[in-house]
Amino acid sequence: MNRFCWRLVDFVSRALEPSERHAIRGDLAETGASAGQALRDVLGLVARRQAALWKHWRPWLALGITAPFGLALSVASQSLAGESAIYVWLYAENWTSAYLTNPGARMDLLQFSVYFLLEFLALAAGAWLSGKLIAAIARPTVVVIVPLFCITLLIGGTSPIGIPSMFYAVIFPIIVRGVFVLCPALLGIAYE
Amino acid sequence: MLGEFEYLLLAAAVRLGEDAYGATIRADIEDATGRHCSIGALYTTLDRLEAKGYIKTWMGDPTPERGGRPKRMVRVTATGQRAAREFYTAMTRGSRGLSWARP
Repeated sequence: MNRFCWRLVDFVSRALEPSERHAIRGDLAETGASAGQALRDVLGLVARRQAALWKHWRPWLALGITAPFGLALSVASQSLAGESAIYVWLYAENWTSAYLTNPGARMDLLQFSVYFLLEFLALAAGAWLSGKLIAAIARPTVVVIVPLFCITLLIGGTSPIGIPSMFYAVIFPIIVRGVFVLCPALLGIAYE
Repeated sequence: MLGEFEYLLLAAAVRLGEDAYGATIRADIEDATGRHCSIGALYTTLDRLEAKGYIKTWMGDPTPERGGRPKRMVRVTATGQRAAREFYTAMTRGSRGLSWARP
């Protein structure tokens, strides 16, 4: 429990500037603070720092674009997942080697693959740019904005896909959202 | 004019002199008031006082008892000392004739 608490202290204190983080961890070590006390102290400071940051307009602007961007990406990913799931399901369920030997079927498969590859790349690029934009506007407040962005992604565009397969109707869209929206957006935030 | 906590922090930093940094100032304030002093209150007040030009802070050398981590050292400027004196004078004057103040 103690070790878990100290790990939590380390994790929470990452929201602070590095120099301040080291000074505070040093103070806690020197005074022999208990893990619980240290966690309360660090949480208190992080809360105060965050509250001070939200007095400026930048976090509010970032928050203002987080909801519509998150929702738009979520709806786009759901729509793309639905569209592609039907093709993937049809190919996977009815796959024969004739697809590779028949020139017409081969061309269809190629066209389908290129079309959806480009669509998925465009979705990932959009998510990555959104992440970069949010981080550029309000880098220090991402600890609050990122969870909100993730919640928007989760709640937006969850209409079921009409395929009689649990995997393609439910799990496939979640994978699409995670791989082509959430990961690129988080990378965009992390590397801004 | 200074706030009560700002005054306590300045007083602790002056009293500690060369040894004034986060942990020692915190301990001094807790000794003086008999109340818990949170790290959040301490560090945000340090920032505020530095922004007003009442103190200067810098990162000191790391020490083994701190797990090799540096200290945030504090020095009170002349402006800070003047502000503390004004606060003390105002409080002393404002307390004249009161039952809890010394004659």
